[in-house]
Amino acid sequence: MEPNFTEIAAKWQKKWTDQEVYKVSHKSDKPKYYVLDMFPYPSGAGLHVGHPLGYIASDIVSRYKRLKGFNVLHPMGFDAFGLPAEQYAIQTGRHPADTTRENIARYKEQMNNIGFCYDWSREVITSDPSYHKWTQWVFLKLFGSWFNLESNKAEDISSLENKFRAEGSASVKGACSEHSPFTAEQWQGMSEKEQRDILMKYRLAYQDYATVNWCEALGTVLANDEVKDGLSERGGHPVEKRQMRQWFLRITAYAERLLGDLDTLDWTDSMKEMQRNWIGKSEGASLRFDLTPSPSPQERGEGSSTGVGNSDLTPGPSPQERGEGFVAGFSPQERGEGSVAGFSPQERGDTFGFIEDSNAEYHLTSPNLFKVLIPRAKMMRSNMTPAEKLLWEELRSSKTDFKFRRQHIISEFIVDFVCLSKMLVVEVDGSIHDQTAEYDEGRTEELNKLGFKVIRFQNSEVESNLKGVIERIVESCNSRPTSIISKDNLGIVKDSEEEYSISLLLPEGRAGVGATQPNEYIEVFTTRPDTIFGVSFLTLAPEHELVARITTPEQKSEVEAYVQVAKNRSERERMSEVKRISGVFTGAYAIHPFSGEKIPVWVGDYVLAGYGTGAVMAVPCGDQRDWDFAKHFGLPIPEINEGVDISEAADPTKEAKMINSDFLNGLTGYEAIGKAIEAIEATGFGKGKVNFRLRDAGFSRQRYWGEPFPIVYKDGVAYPLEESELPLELPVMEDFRPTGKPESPLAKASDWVNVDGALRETDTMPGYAGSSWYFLRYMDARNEESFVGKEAEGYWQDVDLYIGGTEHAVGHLLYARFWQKFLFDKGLVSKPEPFRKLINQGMILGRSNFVYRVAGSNSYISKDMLASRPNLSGFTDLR
Amino acid sequence: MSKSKFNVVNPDDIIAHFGADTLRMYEMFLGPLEQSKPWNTNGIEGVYRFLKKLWNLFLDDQGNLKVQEAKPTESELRTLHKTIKKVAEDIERFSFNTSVSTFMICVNELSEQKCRNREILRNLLIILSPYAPHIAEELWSALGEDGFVVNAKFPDWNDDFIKESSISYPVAFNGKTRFNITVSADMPKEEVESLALSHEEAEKWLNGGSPKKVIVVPGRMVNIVI
Repeated sequence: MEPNFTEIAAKWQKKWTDQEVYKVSHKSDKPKYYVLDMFPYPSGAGLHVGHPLGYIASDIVSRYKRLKGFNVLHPMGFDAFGLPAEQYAIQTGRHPADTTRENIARYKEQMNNIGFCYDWSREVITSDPSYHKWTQWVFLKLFGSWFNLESNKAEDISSLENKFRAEGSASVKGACSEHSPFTAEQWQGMSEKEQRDILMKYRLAYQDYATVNWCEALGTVLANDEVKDGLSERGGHPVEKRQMRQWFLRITAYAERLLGDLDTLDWTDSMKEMQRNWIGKSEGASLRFDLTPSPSPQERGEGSSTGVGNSDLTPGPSPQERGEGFVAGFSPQERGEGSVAGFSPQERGDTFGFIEDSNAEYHLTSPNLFKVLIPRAKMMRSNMTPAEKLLWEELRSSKTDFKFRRQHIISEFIVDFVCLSKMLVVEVDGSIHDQTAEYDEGRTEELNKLGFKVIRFQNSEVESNLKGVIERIVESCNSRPTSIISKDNLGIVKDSEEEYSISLLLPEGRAGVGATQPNEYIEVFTTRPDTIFGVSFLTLAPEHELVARITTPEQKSEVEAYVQVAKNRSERERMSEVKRISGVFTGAYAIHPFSGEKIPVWVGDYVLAGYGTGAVMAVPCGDQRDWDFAKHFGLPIPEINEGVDISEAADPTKEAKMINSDFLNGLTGYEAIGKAIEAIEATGFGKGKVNFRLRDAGFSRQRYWGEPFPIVYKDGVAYPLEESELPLELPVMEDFRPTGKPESPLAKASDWVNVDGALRETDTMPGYAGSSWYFLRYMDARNEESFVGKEAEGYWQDVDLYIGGTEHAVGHLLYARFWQKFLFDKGLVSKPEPFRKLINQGMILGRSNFVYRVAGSNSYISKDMLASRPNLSGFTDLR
Repeated sequence: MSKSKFNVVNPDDIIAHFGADTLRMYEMFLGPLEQSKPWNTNGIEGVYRFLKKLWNLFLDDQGNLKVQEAKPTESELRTLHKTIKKVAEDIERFSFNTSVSTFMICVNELSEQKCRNREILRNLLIILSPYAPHIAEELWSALGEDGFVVNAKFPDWNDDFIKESSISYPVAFNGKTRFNITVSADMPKEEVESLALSHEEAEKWLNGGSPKKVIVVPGRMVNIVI
């Protein structure tokens, strides 16, 4: 009797289901083992023979581990939101919820036919409101969190608000889109909108402007993979890049941890390498190239080159408008009166900054003043009055909790004592000061303008009541916010992405007094600071924000035309078409930080806006693209390596000895890197820096079939929904075709959008939102109180074995690791990594890919050819 | 691709024709999990035949149970235990295609041994159940076992059973193999050497002389240098 394996299979599948053989619970004394498949997207086509390969393997492991005495979690679900379902729905006129449901039913039937030991009671479907409720909940957690670089973890946004309220922004080290300095007083004086705008720059789920692919003809925003060669894949219509406000996830805050923790995982080396490349850590230096001032129309052509001046290229917003209220690089001219000490503007020099003296103390002044004043300061230090000596004994070496410096240069003054972190000046007046009360008044006023508080004591007070004087000083310190200016915090000042020139905090009400625009400068990141003397031009990406601002009127039309063309080329085209060299001169010049030479600033589309700073220092002798560009446009190619031939191509060697490189001469490139970084830091033109290729993850889609954002706007300010308002379900819409405007189809559902005077966010979340945490939901899939119960999560913890295709090597796996780390920081999960062991199944290839060997010969023939020649028979030798 | 030749890409058709267990074992049999490989149904019949052969160890053509209660033989135990060992080790290192071949070898050996032994066959079902759970359940219940085989306990292997009791040594003269000797597995080197030299055929190849050197590679071979 022939056994009927098909009937046997059906019989036992039914028994397993009826008796819930594969149902598991976290309430178990057995050791746990969690085997997970990457859940499928339920397409209309059903399972293909390639799909089950990984599922069968994971099923074998699950069953084996059960037999070995483990409590095995082996669930399955469906990644059901996404673009194909929506497109299919638009084509067929059916709702994606209906087609998705049908497809899932088909997938489940097929899976059950293969006899997988899934615990279906834990099934998750990402489009199901009972699931996406918690996706929205995690989003709210991200929205309500910031990344504290000091603790290296996510914290509640309220801790940031508290810091701002108590201390202003100076002491905050957080991952942010843009750092703006303000005092506690300024924070307290801000409107709610202003405060929330600043908080938005720190949130882990935040909004910013970003480029989208807008197709006028289709009336919709397209995903990157729907665009090919600047045209829509569907219909071949032109696609334009447009700036739109989008949601992002601040995954870059976790770059270092995502990289470091790869070492703890049992993944293949190639998989880890793909993630490492994607994160793309490189060490080098970020470097500032100041721009030469743009000459006035009368002066133009006279070759004005005043060095690092307060170049005022295009007036930007005033500090008040920017809500910043700080002074950067203020010039004495603009600070106006109060120049009591009688220094001429020339003597004072143009820019202020921290200057380090031989005692490693940082003086806030200009280089010229420093030169003049430092001998005086030294003299005064060795000739302190008895009262000054008494006080210094108490103040020095941090006997109080505050670090004081003596005879310190601030601007054009030498103050007796100063606590930089509290911006408190302590002056001890003897008889000399009695006669110069007027001078002292002017001096106090000047220091106040800079943000310092001045307290004065008489010599006699110090001598008779030292204790009382100290108490008053400490009290004054305590009553002041901690500013960015302290030796400990100097790193921050230098670290600050935007400001290399030193910023001084001003007390409230003083904002903007004597302020001027910061110098325009171009920031570059280079992994080869050793080649600094090989720089002969700078190249900006066409999208670089400075392009429009620095282009001279003569070059304007040419630059604009170029930028327009470049905008519509894809990054891939720009990177791959190395032969096609294009660029345009902006007319602007930058200044080499060491040689002081003028360097032309070009725009070229071989520089991508998204990588580094979107600007490069071009070193044609060492970089082939720079070399090609220089050759093409006849720019100089300075030689900086001894005995290296660069007549035919660039040579990026680090072995050769440096020449024409000033203080780097004679060193090899390897040796010169560290020295160059040192010099760059010493001159204040930049600093050693780690750069990541990883970008923050775009989290907005202008689509219908995705998770709605639990966000409403009141007066343009984003507010989160309450947890109790979740899930926020999609509105039922008859027509969710694109609106014809660059906005989401949800904008058409006006009843849904308008809520009590507020407007809902109409973008939806991307496909990877639901898949970034589904492995956690399986642990406790029916929990209505929490995204996963503490007890269940504590038992199952993490995935012991994860099987899926390599196509998710960077996207899904990186996002999921990021979400897990975030939830770990919030104390919501117990492991910092979600997938301990990862295996990628290979693909099962269709037969048509193969050639056939003609029977009885050693010649080969393709499948199509074979089919067209009926008298031949062919073989594949593959078995 | 032609459905009539079962050259299909839809798992449903294979399941309908050969059953789910055939599909499961066949997909694993295609090659190492992590490698990409062509879909080729040429070997599917082989896997199907293997499962039928397994079935025939338990049941005769009339569907009657052939299994008997008896003490397993040494060779049956060896076949079972080396299979348990290999399959367990293969799954632990995610090598599934090799397990399928191991099962095939095991079923062939048990068939040759005309194995009817309940203990042997019962354990075989347990270790096979991750791969072919439906057939394993059906035969488990045919054996009259309680509950589901998928809830059983994976058997441990015993190295003592796996050890071969005797080893065949090829005996070479100046590198050319001339004859074989079969000795017990734990025979010391010296004894193997003297046994080889005293073999009746050795006389012929030594040709009256005495060997310069005798090399015995334990468990592998004997080489006599003359």
